[in-house]
Formats: sequence, structure tokens, C-alpha cells
Amino acid sequence: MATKLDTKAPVHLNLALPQDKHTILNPVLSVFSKLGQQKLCETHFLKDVLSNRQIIESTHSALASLSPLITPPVPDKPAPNLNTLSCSLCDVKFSSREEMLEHYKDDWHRYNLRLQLAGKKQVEEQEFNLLLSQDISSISGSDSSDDDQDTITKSPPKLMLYCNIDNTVCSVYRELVHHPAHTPDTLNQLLRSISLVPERTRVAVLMQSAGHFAGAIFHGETILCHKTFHRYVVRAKGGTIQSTQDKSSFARSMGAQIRRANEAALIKDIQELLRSWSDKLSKCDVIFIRIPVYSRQTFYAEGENFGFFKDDSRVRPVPVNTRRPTFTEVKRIHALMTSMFVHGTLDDFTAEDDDVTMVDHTGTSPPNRHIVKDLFDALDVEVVERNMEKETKCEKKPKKSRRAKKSKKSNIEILDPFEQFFEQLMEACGKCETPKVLSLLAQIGDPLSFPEPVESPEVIDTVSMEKSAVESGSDEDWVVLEDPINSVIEDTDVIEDNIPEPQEDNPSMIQSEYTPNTLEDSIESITIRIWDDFLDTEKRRVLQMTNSEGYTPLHLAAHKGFSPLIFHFLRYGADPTVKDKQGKVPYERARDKPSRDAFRRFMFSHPLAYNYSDAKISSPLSPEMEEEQRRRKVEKKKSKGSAKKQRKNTGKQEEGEVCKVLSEREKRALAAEKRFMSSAVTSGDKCAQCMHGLQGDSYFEKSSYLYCSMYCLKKHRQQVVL
Amino acid sequence: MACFRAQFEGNNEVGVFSKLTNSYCLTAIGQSENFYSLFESELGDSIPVVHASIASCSIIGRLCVGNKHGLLVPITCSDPELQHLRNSLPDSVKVQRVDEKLSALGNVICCNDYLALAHPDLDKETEEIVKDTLKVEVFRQTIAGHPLVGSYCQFNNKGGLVHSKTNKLALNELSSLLQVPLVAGTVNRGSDIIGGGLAVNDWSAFCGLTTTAPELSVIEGVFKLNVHPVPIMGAKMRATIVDSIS
Repeated sequence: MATKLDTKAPVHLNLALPQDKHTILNPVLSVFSKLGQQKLCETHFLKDVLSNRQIIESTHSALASLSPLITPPVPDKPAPNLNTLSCSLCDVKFSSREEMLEHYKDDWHRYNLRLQLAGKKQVEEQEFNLLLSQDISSISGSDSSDDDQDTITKSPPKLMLYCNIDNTVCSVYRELVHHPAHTPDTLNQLLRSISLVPERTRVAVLMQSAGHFAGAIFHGETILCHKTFHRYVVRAKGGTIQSTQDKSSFARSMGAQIRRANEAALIKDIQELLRSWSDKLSKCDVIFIRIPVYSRQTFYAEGENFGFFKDDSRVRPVPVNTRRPTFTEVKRIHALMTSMFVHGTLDDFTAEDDDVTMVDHTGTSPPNRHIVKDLFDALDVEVVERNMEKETKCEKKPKKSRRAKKSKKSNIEILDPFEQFFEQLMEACGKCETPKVLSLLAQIGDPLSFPEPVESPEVIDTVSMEKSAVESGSDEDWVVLEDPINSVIEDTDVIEDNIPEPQEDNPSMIQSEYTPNTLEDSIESITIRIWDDFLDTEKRRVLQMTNSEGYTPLHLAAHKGFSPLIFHFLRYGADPTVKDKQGKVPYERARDKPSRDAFRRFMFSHPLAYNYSDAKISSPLSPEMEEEQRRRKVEKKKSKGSAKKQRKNTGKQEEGEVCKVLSEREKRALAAEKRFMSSAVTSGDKCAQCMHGLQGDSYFEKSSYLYCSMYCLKKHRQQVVL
Repeated sequence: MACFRAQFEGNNEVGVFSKLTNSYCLTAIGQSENFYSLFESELGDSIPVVHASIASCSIIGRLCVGNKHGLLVPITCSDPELQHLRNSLPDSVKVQRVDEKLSALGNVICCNDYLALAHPDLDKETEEIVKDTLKVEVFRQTIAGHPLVGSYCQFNNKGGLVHSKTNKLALNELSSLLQVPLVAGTVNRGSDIIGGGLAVNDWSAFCGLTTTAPELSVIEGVFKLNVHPVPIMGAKMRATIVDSIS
């Protein structure tokens, strides 16, 4: 076709072609028809057109209906049907346009669009309504707390587990039973507080974060009153509220002032609301509160009576992770807090995770049972099905046949001691509470001693220094977990025991704070007792346990960069070759150089303790090497300083020399040249209309004329036309 | 004739560097005035053609969205820029700054004077602002599975061009939603990014220099830009012309 076509007689050719080629040639014809009228259409585009068959194909169908010029008579109607009343995405048909428009604004359609973009299958309307009734709060774009939800780190909830006579395991949140700080001292007191739970039907939930406030008061299932509001207080980029930012730098921008005013208004709003709710709040049995530290002032303002006060035992924190404070979130928290979770039978429950050792306390006295029975008969029990279970990320997932029935008589059952201990350890580790971690580690037993092939006096020095910070534990037996062959006791420990502790102010005090006797929580005390019963070898398993991210305590310490803790963990037998969920060993998780050095230092002092190639620790670090590094650093600093000075001096000298060499006249000539260069006119072009010289880049070209302004262009064009 | 080929400093994406509506036209500030002068010479008699920048960028066509009623600019638009826009646009045009996460408004919203398509993830607040400022009905849609409706389609009050891979059913649904005939096609020699390659209002269109003739004819056809030739070239006249040529 391309060879046949010739710019001289295009139409002729067209006529010679069979009828069915018309549509393809139409674009060509339309180009020709334009040739006379439009400059821009140049003949070489024709070649493009014909060589680029694909483009013709793609526009083919469009042209069939649109070619207005020399097509054989086609029915005069637009190609697309304007009356297609359907939505192929959601697979629905409509009877009227109004209906269709309504659908396109519908949440269902919007949700399906999002699913489509995420590459998922679209949902039916009923299915969507079902989803909606459950837990989709972010269909509308504005409350897109999706990101927030992803970043929530799931920590195991603080559940109280019970086992009733039917061997059904069930649990409630501890915060429903008692205030975490006011734990009952004895088991009887605990049971008494449990017995009060069914009467606690008036529950308030108050939440505030980042300018959002949501609160509601419930009586049983009914909502007595609720309120949410939002003010713009959080800096969009910084992500903190303005008053926090003001502590470091007091910005005077308009945004900062608006946020400051909004913050004050938010506090006022909240306090006014609480004042109006004070009657109801004072009648509440439990108040779940989730507020940031900075707004404590708002809620516990002095001289105000909101129906609760600062050290009120009714005011309890929300023990689970929460999302943005919204009314739905408040309802969710309320449902979660006042629910009882049924985990199936004890066998199912324990079979689910073999690692967890359940300790059954059947020795509870009969009167207690009665109390507990009353409790569960009256408690507004919600049987929480599997999906709820997933939501709370309960560590112990029950197996399939969960009995949806109320527990009748219960014995008290305690949380897995390992998990509890692990939790404590992780918490202390996360906050870098070194003394607490050390005392916890001391409960595990003694630090392991590893075979040390060569012991230079220096090594003993460093090791003993590090160890001296630790409580040397009891004289119980201990075994190396990983490698039983290595379980040879060495005399070094004895030496260390005799060394006085220089770092700890009062180690015995610190220990006593965490000893089982003084623990405030009776549950915990039981836990510890059981915990104590375990052998040290078993206890060491805690150090290999992982949290939801697959972190061992060693991972956490490395991640947070707490170098002293790393050393201690390694000494107590925390395996550095354990990988987290992303397949990283603790050494790779290490935050900074000091923490990496801690690993390497340990490698130097205990070369055979672990498989270091698996732990990916590069090389040992000896004290000599460290000294060397330090020296090199100092030298480098010095040389850097001197180099700078030298450079400065030479630069000054050169400049002076140049000035000396040039004569006075030459200097003037140079300056003139510079001036000339800067002011040179780019060309001798002139505006076609006003004939002024064109300077700079403010001129432009139009139809091969140059103009200085649009005014000149228009005027010139008029003249040309005349 | 009303479809013009243009280039902005060697770049064919005309829709990126200009914003054309029925009551004003914005062009990017560049080194040479060629691009602006084409717009000014073609449109200057009917609507103001204004040099503008948004957040000191020249990609104004992708950053802002507007029609004859108003103009929305992203939050990154500085105060002097906003002031300049308000000064140079007609008083009937409302200029509004929008705080939206998807800040390239031109890519996520596409509108004529009555209706707008929007990205499915657009904020609800933004949707309200679009509704009020531009006086349009807003629908969330995707074009051929792409959420960036502003990039992959372009329509005026008479017709529209969409991504070439849009299937027939979706095309029909879209055109019945917008109540204008739509056509799947390309600009700039096969580019699917219609919004980027084409600036269009009810009587004129600007596309890249590489746009081929069939593409041009599709554009002129679907946007109803060549209203004159149709009555002139009736079937009868065609016969006589053909006769005389042959």
C-alpha cells in the first residue's frame, strides 16, 4: 500500500482500491484534505502513517464511525452506546440512569475498585454488606487508617486464662477484673474481684490520640452516650503534636499557630464533654482509657471533677493495640474488653502448641468454685469465634471444634510461665532496663562457661569485669543447652564470685524487687513459683523464644543497640545463630558499631562458644585491636586538621602571586573583558513589528518571524492580512 | 481547524505542560516562548492564556485540575503562585488549594464542565472540594484497570479519548456514565497516556508533534473540533470533487 500511494494523486488511488479498504484509507484522506488548510500536516507523516500499521489498526475501529469526510454513507450515530446501564466491575445492571449514578457513588463499587487495584476478586453486594457489618471502617478515602493498622505491632494480650470443670479453657482481659497496678495480694481477693465483674455493666471507653477524640459510655450492650471529635493539631510532616514540637523549637508559622489554637480548643472540648458526662462517669464501674502522656493533664486536671480522678482504680488502660479513635473503634474496644474468649477444651488447647506447658491447678478449694460459677453465669459472655481470635492475635489458637457455650464451673488456670517470663524479659530488654534484665537472667541460672583455649591475663580481666556487673546466681546445677559436650564447669566462675560488684549500687535491693515474694500480682507469684520449679536447662529455653516478629531477646537487644545486654545474653546462652522471620541473625540486626563490637568482643573472649560463621559475626575483636583503632582515629583527626591548615596557606599564597605577576594595565583589560562578556547581546535580530533589537530570551518565533511580544505578533499579523 | 501539534522544549507531552479549559489556559514557564505563543495566538482572542508554575514546577498540567468553573491546585502550590493564578484568571473561576495525599491532581482527576472521574483512593474531603469548586459530579473509576484516570483519559463536553486497551463494555459504560461518546485511542504515535499527550477544550486541542495523522483525525472527530467540514462536504459535493479530480 505504501508503494502505491503517491502524494500527487492520492484520491485517485483511493478510488481504484476495493471498497473494503475504505476505512483504512480514510485517515490518509483526511490528512490530504487538510493539506491545503493546515501547515502542520506535512507529507512525511503520511509515510509514518502507512509504515506504522499498528497505529492504523488501533484507531481503525474508532475511525469507522468517525471519519466525517469522504466515507461511504454510514449511519450517523456515535460508536459507543450511551445507554449501557450496567457496571461490569460489580456485574450489575440498572433500569435507569439515576440508579446507575447512585451505584457509581456507592461504597460497594468503590470497595470493588480497590479490590481490583489490589488484584483481588470483586465481592457481591451481600458479601460486602456482611463485611461492612463486621469490620471495614475505611472504605471512604478519608479515614484511611490502613497504614496505621499495618504498623501496629501485635503483642500478646494480657489474658487471664481459666479452665472450668468441663475442661473448657476460656479467658478474659485482666483489665476487666482489676486495675493492673492494684493487683490483689491473695488468691481470695482476686476471686472476690472476679465475682464483682458481672455487676460491672456500666463501662466507659475514652480514647484520644493525635487530635482525635472518641468516647462512649455503655450500659450492658446499649450505648448511653457517645461523642467523637477531631481537630488539626498534628504536624503533617513532623508527625508530632504542636506542643511537643514547641519544646524543641517554637515555630511562628501560620500552621503552627493554627495547631496551637486547635490544641487548646481540643482540650477545652474534651473537658467540657467530660464535665457534662461527669454524672454518668462517676456511676461507671470501669473506665477504659487510652490517652497519650501529654494529655494526662486534660483528663486529670486539678480542680476539675469529671467523675473520676487520677489514681482511681476504676480507670484502667486499654491492654490491646488500638487504631485511630473513632466510634467504631470505641465499640470494638468495648466488645473486646467485655468479652470472654472460649479456647475449646484443655486438650485441644494444649495440643495446639506443644511448646506451651500447661500447669493445672486442681487444688482450688470448693467455695472458690462457687464464686467463679456465679461469675460466669452472670457475666455477659460473648463467645468469640475464630475471626475475633485472629484479631487479637492470641498466641494460643484453639483448634476447630470450639464449644460455643458458657463455662459453668471454673478452676483458676495460670498463664504459661515461660511466656510470661519471656514477656517480662522482652519488655525490660526493650526499655534497656539493664538491672532488671540482669536480675531476670539471674533467675535463669548462671552464665554459661565456654571452653577457652588460651587465656591471656587480659581476657580474664575483661570477662570478669563484664561479669561482675551481674548477679552471680545460686549454686544450682546448670548445663549448656546447645552443646552438652561443652558442659564442663570451669573454675573461672569461682573467681568471679569473689569479685565485689562495682557497678551495681545495691544489687540485693534490685533483686528483691523482682523476687517472687514481693510480687504484687498473685498470679505472677504463682507463675514464678512454678517457674522456679523448672530446671535451669529448661529455663534457658526462654532465651531462644521468639516474639511475633521472630525476635529473640538477643535480637531485640541488638536491634535496639544495647551493647552491654548483648554481651550478657550471649553469656547466658542466647544463641546468636537464631534467625528472625526475615531470616536475619542478631548480628545482622545490630543497630550500630558498639553493638556489633559487643558480638565481636564476645567472639574473641569465647572463641568456641557458638558457631560464629552461622551467626555471621565477621571477626573477633581483641582489646589490642580496639586500642589500635582508637589510636588510628585520633591520628586521622590530627592529620585532617593539619591538612586543612596547609591548604589554606597555599591558597592564599597563590592568589597573591597572580596579583603580583599581572601589571596594572593587564588587570584593567581583564576586567573590561569580563564586563563585555556579561552584557553581550545574543544576536542582531529585530522584532518583525516594532523593529527593536531583541534582547535576552523574551522574544519568540512565530511563522518564521521573530517578535518581542504578543502585542507585536497580533499587530503584525493584522498588517499581513491587510 | 482546531487541533494543533506543539512541543514544549523538545517534549511532546503537551498535556503535561499546559492546562486547557473552556475559560482559561495555563502554560508552563519555559526558556522559549514558542509553546506559549502557539497557545496565545490560537486562543488569545477568546480566553486568557496565562504563564503559570506550581510548586516551581513546569508540569502544571499534571499537578492541577480545572474546568470553566474553577481550578484546583495541590498544597505544594506556593502563596505567590496562587495569588498570581487568582489575579490572572477570570473572576468567575474559583481557585482553590487542596491538601490531598495524591498531590498530582491532574493525574488522579479528569473532568469536563459537568462530570469528573477520580482515583478510587482519593480523599473524601477532596471529592467534596472537587464537587463544590468545579461544580461537577464525581465518580470513582479506573481506566483499563489503571487508577490514574487523569493520565489515561481526556474528555471535553462533547467527547473523549481513553486508553487504547479499554475494552468495549467498559468503554460503553464509561460513555454512558459521562454522557459523551468515547473512543479508545492513542496520541503521540501510539502513546496511551492521553492526558499527558493532549490538552483539549470544547473548540481546540493541542497534541505532541509526533502525533500521527490518523490520531489527529480521531482526536478531531471525537472531540467534535472540525464542525465546519461536515456540512460543506456533503455526499453530493464529494461526488463532484471526486469527479473533477479524476
